[in-house]
Amino acid sequence: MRKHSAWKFVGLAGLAGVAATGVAVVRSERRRRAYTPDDVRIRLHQRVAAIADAAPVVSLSAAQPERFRRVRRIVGKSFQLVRRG
Amino acid sequence: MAEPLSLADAVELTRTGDLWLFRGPSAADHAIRVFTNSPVNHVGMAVVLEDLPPLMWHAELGHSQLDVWSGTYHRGVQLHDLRGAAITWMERYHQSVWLRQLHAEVTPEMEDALLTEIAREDGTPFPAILALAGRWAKGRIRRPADVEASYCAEVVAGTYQAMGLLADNRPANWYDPGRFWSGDHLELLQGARLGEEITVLGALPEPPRTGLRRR
Repeated sequence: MRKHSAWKFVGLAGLAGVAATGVAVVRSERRRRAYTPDDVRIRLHQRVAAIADAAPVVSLSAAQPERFRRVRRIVGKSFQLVRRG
Repeated sequence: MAEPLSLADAVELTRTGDLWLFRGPSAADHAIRVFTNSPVNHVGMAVVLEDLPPLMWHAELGHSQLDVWSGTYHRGVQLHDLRGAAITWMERYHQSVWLRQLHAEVTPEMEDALLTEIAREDGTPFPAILALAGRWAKGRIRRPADVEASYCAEVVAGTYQAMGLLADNRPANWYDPGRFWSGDHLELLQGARLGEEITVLGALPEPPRTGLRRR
């Protein structure tokens, strides 16, 4: 059992303290600029818009439930027959 | 050797997916901790993108801080400037704060999943305290509850799930803040690992002691 888990195990973790035993791991440097909250909001919305644009276009047949696909197959076949006829 | 970090250093160090854990002195804080069998009562997640300032993704009852996704002030699920949020929680709510670093490679796909989650969940109202207890109880018996009202652990769990860090075999409302404390065992996917708690020091002196054991 890990060191804090005893508290959890006996149901008294709510009364326990947090033993801060973590050691900070340094991360690679990051570029940072000063942004206004409006700039932050615009940048976030631009990124989400870019995700939506980049999302693969789902073909109709794959997106439709089975029964719609069947209907489309039948409609498609009849259409071919009509054309051939 | 476990050294505490200043808030400035913690803000500089934190990266996407890191957890920020909080423990406060109010009766509601105590109730949450006793009820969820955990020494922490709140959890938020760092969102650190490109050269933007670090942001805090979490759900809170307060509405004193600007939500940088919606550009408004509201309760519930919010995206804040992380430094400002930490200061609010330390100074206004007298909370102790810990950082848990996420050791995982956060790919562009994971960032996209995170942003999609923010776009979808931001602004979800915080449930009333009784509803909150009900949700938690429902989560315990593994029935997905109404997604309308998410709260802090649920937001973090849902976001970890969207990013593929946490399996989605449990509904997000099964999680409570204590699940994100190192005394619990959170099974992360993709070889991800969470470091243990690092104390983040506030600028103000310690809040008044409450008689309960604190370290």
